[in-house]
Amino acid sequence: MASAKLINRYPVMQTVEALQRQVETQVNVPPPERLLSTVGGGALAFSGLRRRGWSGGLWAVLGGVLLYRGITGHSFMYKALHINRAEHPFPSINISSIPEREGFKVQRTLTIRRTPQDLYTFWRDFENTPRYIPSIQSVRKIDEKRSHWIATSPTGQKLEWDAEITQDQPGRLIAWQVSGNKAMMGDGGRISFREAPRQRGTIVTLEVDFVGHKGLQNTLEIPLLGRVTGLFLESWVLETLRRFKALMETGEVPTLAGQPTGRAIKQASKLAPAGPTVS
Amino acid sequence: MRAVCWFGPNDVRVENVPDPQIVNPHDAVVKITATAICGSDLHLYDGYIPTMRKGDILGHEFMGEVVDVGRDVEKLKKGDRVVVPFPIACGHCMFCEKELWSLCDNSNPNAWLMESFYGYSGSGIFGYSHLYGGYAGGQAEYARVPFADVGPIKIPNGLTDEQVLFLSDIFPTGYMAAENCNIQPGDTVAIWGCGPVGQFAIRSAYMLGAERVIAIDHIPERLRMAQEQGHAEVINYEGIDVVEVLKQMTGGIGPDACIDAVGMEAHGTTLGAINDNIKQKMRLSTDRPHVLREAIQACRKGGTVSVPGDYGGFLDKVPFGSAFTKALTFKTGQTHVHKYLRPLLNRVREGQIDPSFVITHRFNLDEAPHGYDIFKHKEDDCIKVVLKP
Repeated sequence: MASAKLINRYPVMQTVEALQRQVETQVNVPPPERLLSTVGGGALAFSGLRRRGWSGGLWAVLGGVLLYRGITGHSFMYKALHINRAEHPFPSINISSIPEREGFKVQRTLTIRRTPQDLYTFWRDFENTPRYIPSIQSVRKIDEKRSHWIATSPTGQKLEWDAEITQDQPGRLIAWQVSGNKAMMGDGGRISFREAPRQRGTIVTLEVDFVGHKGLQNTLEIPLLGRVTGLFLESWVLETLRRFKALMETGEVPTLAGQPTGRAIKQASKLAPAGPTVS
Repeated sequence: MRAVCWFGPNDVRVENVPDPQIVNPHDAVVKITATAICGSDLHLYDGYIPTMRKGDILGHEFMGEVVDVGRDVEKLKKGDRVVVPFPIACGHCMFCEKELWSLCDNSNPNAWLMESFYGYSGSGIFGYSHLYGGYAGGQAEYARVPFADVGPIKIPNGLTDEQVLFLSDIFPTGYMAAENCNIQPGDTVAIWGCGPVGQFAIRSAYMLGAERVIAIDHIPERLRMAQEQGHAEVINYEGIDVVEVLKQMTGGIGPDACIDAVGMEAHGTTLGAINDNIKQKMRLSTDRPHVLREAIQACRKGGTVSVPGDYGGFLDKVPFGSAFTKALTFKTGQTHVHKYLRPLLNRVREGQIDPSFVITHRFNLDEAPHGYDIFKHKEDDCIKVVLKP
């Protein structure tokens, strides 16, 4: 903002000031995307101007639009779509920010045909977790609140961490905090159990927290790439819930492991361990 | 074991593959004694269904003898003779509880994939692409059947395989299509498609009290079967205005219910049908709704359009204005086979119907590629092919 003295001396500054204020209230592009837009737009405009001719002109115009978008933070397209990505930068309503802790959380919800108490009891015994999260190898209870987890990442890396229960309301809510930075997914989370209307069972909401992952958070705020990243994160939460639901409703998780196929295979694929049923 | 495997459009081969195993505690393994090729298998054969992988085992209409059961199976034991319904249902989710078996929450390991297409996922199906779960199918010597207590129905002595095999799919499909028409005394039901599903829809419509059944197709042997065996009035649609003919035949009212037993690969000789075909070949559209359009236009005001299927993607230029203004009811969906197994088995036992009427060809499993070929091209008066492993 220009200082008051400058505005009074040069009336044109009043116009610029008013324009700036007008545009700033309509900022609808989040910072990471603005940066990308500015840099990309600048490069595009520059190369367009150098090229000359019709195609060069086109690139220059495109670059100019991106530059404008990046500098002012205002996108006409977003305005037309009634999207304000400065206020809601995440690609999905299932991803929201945790402002007080500089992070974000990913949540999904499913309805499971069991009582809240049954579901709470099964989830609370963390040693059950490998049965619905296949990448978790084992969970060992340390004491009433703490447990030690061992997992294998998708890249084959061995991960180990400790988790501690921070909130425990039987039949209603379990919240946990992860220590160390070699966790499978997220830095903490919570799962809530609410009775569903009309005997449909329980509405289960699983939230996974990500705190201090600035790079990941910025990636989420970029169009396209953010959407894909968001899908991965959401999918992990959703598939965990889905397997939990199948296990609790039917006693098993649907699988194709070990089934025959006409593809050339070296040996029959490893059978998934069937495991003891849930009563 | 030998199994019919998909390797691409118009390319199915019988290969040697490992035998299926018990994987989950509610599984059973069935030794297959009879299996059939379905009209919807032709969508796979023609390459219209996405998410197929080379080597996938096909087949969702099968029956046989239980040879192994998982440790939590209670209702079946080795030696039981069973027919297996084509949708796989867990029996415990909200949808199974409501008897909407083909909408089961817990039987599709690729639910995420179907959700990305349709918003929510239905049940897994045997041998019908990874969108529907990727389960190995039943055109083979053995099959692994999940949730064995929920699906398979035991067959009593005194009935041949051919009499009960079609409980797995096409008989319940035709029956549900007719039941969905909400047939009242005096009603006329028009059925597009005289393939096996259409034939069972004709029989079922009469069973459920229809006064008249009008069947529409253009293949002579199918029209003949519909007329002589199904006792339907038949229309050969080539070059004629089906909607107008139906109007005349029904005293200017239109059929009370219309069944689309054709689905996404509809054929026709009108300009609209030719346009659909071109668009689909150019991959500009996914499904050909020619029959659906006709059914909507032909149906009387306040009537029902019943769609046993199959559709996969999006439809161009469907006259929804007509549907709305005429206050039509639409009933659709994959068949909830489990709901109809017992009642239809009883009808077979009581002699009300012998489903084997629809079989025209019987081959060994090894001749499956030939079976697919003549079924697709409707050669040799082919209507239904049964395979014996």
